[in-house]
Amino acid sequence: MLLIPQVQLPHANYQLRELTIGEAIGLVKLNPLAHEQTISQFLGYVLEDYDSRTLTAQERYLLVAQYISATCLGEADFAIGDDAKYSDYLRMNTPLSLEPIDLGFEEQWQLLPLFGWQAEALEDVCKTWQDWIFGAIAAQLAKKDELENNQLPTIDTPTAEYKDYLKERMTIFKAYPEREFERLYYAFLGGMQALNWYFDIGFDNEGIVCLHKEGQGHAPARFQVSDCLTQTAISFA
Amino acid sequence: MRQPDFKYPTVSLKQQSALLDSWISAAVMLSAKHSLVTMTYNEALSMALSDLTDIYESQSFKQLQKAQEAENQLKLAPIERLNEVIRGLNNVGKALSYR
Repeated sequence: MLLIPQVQLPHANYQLRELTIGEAIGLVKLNPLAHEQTISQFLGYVLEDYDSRTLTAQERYLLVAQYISATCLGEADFAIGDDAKYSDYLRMNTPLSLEPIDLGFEEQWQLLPLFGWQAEALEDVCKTWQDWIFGAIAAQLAKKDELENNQLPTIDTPTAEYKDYLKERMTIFKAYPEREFERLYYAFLGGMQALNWYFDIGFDNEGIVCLHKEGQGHAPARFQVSDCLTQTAISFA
Repeated sequence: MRQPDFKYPTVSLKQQSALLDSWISAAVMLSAKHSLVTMTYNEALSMALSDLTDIYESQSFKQLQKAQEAENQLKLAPIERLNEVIRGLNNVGKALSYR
């Protein structure tokens, strides 16, 4: 069994272990497009002492990427596409902070991190990249009084109820006048810069992607559980 | 709102089934009755992926494979010889019947 180095972050240490054959068989049978649910299942196997659904989307991607890095056959700074490497996407200069970011506006919108359990629910609700943007806004924005009065859904909220909450909020945001939504959207993007620890995240039709440090013109990456599996199959073949 | 530049490829269903088949085959091979490595199917499923690769790539496993092949050939040799004798007898039979 490979010994995977501990992922040591300022706020926590994460210990990963290697997948077994049986677990790999279980993972490969999952819907290949349900990335977040597959990541939860994968981290449920390999991550010790933590429920990955309570971690932020960026932390989950970091753990998947670190697993690929530790188990891949080539360099630890593994290649992504033809001209990029893992380190081209990784931003370790911003420490994790879970504090809400005040975006202002009449509603005193607060921007919160996106957690694994929320990303899983978004995956069921969103079908296009536009849906994902509205969905992320619905999941991550909260009015100050909602936050203070603990009126927001939590990880213990039943999934169906949370999906209804997301759909309702997405409908409200989609109905915003264009100019008003644009202001809110740019404030959201600005706030996201502060929340983008480890990876700068964006969205495509299938969900969350990690953006290249140099931004536009470079392909975004998706650190997929299948990347943790194909490496072994190649070496076995 | 701007659409991202690139859609990252995902694993195809064909690749998915090939992966599944390779691991199940490996687990079955390790747990087969006349396998070189003796373990149950459940024990094989509990092995780490790299252990699987290590076993198949190890020198001792390759030597065991060669030894088993040689043993199989030894077992097959008398049968082969018997087959030759039967073929010979058949030929003799045919030759006699033409007379």
